[in-house]
Amino acid sequence: MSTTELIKKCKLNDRKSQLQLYNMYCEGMYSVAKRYLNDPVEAEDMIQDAFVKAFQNLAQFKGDVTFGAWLKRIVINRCFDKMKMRQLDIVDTDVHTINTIEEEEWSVSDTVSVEEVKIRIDALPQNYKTVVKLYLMEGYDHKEISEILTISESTSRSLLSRGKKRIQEQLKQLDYGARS
Amino acid sequence: MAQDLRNLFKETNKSEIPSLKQGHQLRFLEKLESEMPVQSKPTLRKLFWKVAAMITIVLGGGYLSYPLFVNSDSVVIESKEEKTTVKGNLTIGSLSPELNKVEKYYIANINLQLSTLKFNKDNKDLFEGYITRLDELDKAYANLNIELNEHGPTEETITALIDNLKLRLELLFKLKNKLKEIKLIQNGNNTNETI
Repeated sequence: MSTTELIKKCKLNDRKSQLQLYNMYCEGMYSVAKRYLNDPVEAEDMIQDAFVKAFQNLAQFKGDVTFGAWLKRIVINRCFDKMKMRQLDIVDTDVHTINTIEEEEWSVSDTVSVEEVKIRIDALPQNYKTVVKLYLMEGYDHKEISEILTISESTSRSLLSRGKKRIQEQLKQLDYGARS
Repeated sequence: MAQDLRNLFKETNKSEIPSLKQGHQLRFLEKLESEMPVQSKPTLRKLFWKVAAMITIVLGGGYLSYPLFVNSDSVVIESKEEKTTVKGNLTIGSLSPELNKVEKYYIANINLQLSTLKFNKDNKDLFEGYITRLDELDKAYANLNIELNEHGPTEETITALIDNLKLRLELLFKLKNKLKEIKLIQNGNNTNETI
């Protein structure tokens, strides 16, 4: 059965289809949630709640984005609602002007592995880390990030830029260290 | 000698995927059941379990309000003839609104089934067996109600009354199905006059 047909059945509260859809997306959503909520129990709980919410609001799903993307947004929003509750807030003061060349500058050495980058990301201060993850790992653009975190787009750009710079610098040092 | 960080992550999203803990599907199902229960027609089984749960509540209430139910001039319940109506000042239906619904449901359905049964010479034997049994149950029901009035509501009496209703309805369904089978066979054979 195609996803579209599955979704149609889910709208009718067909239990079997709902479980099928859950099975299709649960692992993916779980890995997303785990990036922001470290506790596995919390993450599982959260995505399951997100699924339920998605099923309850299926009528609003218009198909202008894929179901996966729509669901992921629900998951991300819930993650950040939760995190906001824990007062990990991002202050809107970290703004500075960035030029477009700077924005496009993403290169790192060939020898750098994904693992190393991830370590660098995790070591970032919370506000940089969040924006970097949303941009690099979830693939959201600044408009979307600004909606999710309720910050301005320029703040998002600024935080990303600073986070990125830090990662690049640290990786360069690693590179120099390896060579010497 | 350079790579773009953005591309790095486009690839790896697929590789390492943390796994959900065992039993997650069951937990999800439970959540679904509680948040978005499936509306289904009450089957006899479900109704029975619902009632079984209610019995405990009823007993609590029944025990506390027992003095109210005891009536020194309790009316003797008339049984026989009529199908399943019960006369008396106390039936399980008067114990709680839930039991009232249950009683009404069963009795209505029993009567409905009885009214739709078509009796003829071909199914006479089949009928007779069932009708005898149903008659017995009808009498038993009446007796149970007498007990209900004389000794007050007890778990046993209430369970027995509900079991009785349930059994009668089941018997009627069985009879109905058997009649359908016979009709199909008859139509298939085409040797007998069809109803």
